[in-house]
Amino acid sequence: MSALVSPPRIGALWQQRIQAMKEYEIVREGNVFSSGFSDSVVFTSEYDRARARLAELVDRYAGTAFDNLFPGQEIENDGGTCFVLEHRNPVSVPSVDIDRFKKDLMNDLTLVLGVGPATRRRLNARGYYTLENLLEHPGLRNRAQKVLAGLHGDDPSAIMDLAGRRHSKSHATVLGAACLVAPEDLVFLDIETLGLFSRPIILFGIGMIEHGQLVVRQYLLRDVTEEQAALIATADHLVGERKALVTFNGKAFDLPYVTDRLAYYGLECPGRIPHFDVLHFSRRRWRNQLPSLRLTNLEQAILNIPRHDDIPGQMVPEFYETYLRSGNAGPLVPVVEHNRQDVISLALLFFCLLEESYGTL
Amino acid sequence: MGLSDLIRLLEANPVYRARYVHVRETGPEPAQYGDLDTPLIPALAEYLDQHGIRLYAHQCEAINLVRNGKNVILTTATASGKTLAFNLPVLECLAAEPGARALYLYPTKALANDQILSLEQMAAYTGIDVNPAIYDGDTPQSKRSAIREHARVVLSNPHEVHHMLSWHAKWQPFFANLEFIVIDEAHRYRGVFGSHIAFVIRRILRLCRYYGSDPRFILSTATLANPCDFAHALTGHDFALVDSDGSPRGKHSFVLYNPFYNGISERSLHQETKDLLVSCVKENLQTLCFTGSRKMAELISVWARDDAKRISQHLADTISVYRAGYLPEERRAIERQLKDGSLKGVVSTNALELGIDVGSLDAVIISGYPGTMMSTRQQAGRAGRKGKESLALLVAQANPLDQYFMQHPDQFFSAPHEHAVIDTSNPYIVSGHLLCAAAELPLKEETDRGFFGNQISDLLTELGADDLLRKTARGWVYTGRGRASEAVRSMASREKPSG
Repeated sequence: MSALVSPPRIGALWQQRIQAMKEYEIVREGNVFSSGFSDSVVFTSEYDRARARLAELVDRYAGTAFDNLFPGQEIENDGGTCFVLEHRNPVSVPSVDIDRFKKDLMNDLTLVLGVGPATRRRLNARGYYTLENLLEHPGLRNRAQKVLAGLHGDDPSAIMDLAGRRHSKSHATVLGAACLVAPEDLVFLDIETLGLFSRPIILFGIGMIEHGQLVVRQYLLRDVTEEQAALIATADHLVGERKALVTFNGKAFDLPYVTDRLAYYGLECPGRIPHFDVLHFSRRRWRNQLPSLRLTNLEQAILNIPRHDDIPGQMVPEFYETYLRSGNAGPLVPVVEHNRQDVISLALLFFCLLEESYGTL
Repeated sequence: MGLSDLIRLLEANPVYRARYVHVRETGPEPAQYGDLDTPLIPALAEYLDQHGIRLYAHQCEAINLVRNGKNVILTTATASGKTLAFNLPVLECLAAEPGARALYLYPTKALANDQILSLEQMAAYTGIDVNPAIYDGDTPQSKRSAIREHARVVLSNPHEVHHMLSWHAKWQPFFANLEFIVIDEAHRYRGVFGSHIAFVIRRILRLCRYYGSDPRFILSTATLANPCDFAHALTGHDFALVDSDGSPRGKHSFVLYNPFYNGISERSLHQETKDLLVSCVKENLQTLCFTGSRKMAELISVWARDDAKRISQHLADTISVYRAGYLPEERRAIERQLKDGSLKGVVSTNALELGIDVGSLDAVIISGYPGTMMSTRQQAGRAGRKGKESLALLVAQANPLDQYFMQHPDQFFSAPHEHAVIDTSNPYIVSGHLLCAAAELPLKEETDRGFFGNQISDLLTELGADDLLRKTARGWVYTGRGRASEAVRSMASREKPSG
């Protein structure tokens, strides 16, 4: 019996079924969803505006070459070739008071296992103010010794782990560990993907501080075949003992996603580096003051940066798909802009929070 | 006492006699014990000793084959000790190899919940580090990470595994060390549903190959006409068959009972069923009654209780209904009461046809032919405690098929076992799983052809043409806008594993 010929339209049937599965819901304005950070809602006005913009871009840029829209560079690595766009932004990096941070650490007796706020007050009353003082405390001397040993190397990871465990992952001390990281070692990361999981990452936004400027490098996939190379390029940025990662909701999304795509291609994951998730710190700081902690809302409220004609993050996949199918690079324009602004705002927000807690006065 | 009295009643009583069409008696069969090629490790041997268990011929045969590296399919009857036949070799392996893992697949969560108890018990007694855990939709998020890392036997269902494969990177230690895949009630995986499951299994094997393991299969099914072919279609591997049942059987009487004996009926099928149930319960026989729908199960039990109440409230209290819609705690309570004897009569839908451990009973009443010989035999197979007499009653409905069986008992008793059919060449099914597989690891035509068949070339081109897959240097990458495992949802629609 000869092999069955696959019926025509089988691809179309699957495409139909998959298109019908939306990863976001389009809702009327006025429906306030206060269920935390659920991003799966797009308001009708946003949706309509975005669809209109898509149509307009396709029109405007029909026939424009990719390289004319996106003046970037092609780079090569073990994974093949990929494409990178560079953009420089002025940024003022706050100077941080490392001494004050270290002093705060030294005075934080609750870093010792078994010492809570009440015990700390009692210890203070008896004249123990610093961790070094506790070395003379018969009962707590050993544990204090352990904590001091951990703090000794000025290793941000160790400090974040300790403070994260003893206080909370979003505590000021955890953020403060960034004082020990040179601005040039910070890696700001934001990715755009084709969906919520198990699909290719189409755009990797990496921000680095170089010579007092925020340089945003965006690895944009001209085709899905470039994903491997872009992944390797991104992972390379995360390699280095002194590096530290800064993201917005990256602990729940960006980093696991990148890790998963690396595993998909059988590539090695970079070793663990300290990770500052600005969403967590923002939540702690502004939870009771702002109705929504989405990056765009924080941008507007705190940094005073408005976005014009932005598209909602959930619609990035359809814009990218339109580009893939038609070869028209127009739809990519807002995607790249959206991602670039995400990285910039991420950095600005991070520095804002850091300066508030530990900026030199 | 009891059973023989009932049978005499059926034969002699004028009401019943007319309806009693035929009886087929089988057995008694003595136990046939077997020998293992090499003795069990001391911990397990002691476990059997302490519980007074001696291994039957088919259990020994299965264990010997598994130890020799064969894939085994067991088609012996319900309550023949199949669970032990696979738990023993798996535990032996876990004891010998510190990293080894096993995956147990069940068609329903209820069954998984049941089977984990016997594993936990064996692990506790023998001290072997098994750490069995159920991983399915009910497993809380907080426990999942620990299960992935530490559970050496993971119990799940195909629906859950279908989704779990998207996260295979988190399961790396599990897949890399997977030694066994045990599939219980495998005959349920036939038809379109079975064809889907066949590809889920192939995707598991594909990941195993990627992570460097080569697990063996142990399948447990009802009696089939084509066991080895079926097993091959389901998994892609060759199997050794163990079908001669060595467990002891008491004398078993299978009665055909026709309320429509004169072409008309005085009372409905359900009333007749109810009468039979009450008669059985009055004779102190533990009875299971299977009906076709939840509503009828409820009604029959209500009527039976009403009848029984005329004799005594206590008798009425020994009758209960059992169906899939009940909460797990309620179902566990009924199962327990059946086991300890406080319940005498239970009316059920076909949900209980599965191997949930209620032990064996004295009598089974099947209200209306359930549609397949496989179901009939499975249901009837519930009757028969070790060595004791048992009774199965098929009560005919007023439809041509049931009446035909009543008129031609020989045809009924000699009907062959069904074939379980799986089609691994249906392009609609194959293509869906190609998409899922591509989302798990890049697909390569040459190396993945063995899992998906020769259609792979054409299908990949088709799917690529519609932008669902993209060919890269590493292979075909999934680029669809939705999640592949969500799109291939036939798992969910066909058989809900909520049990």
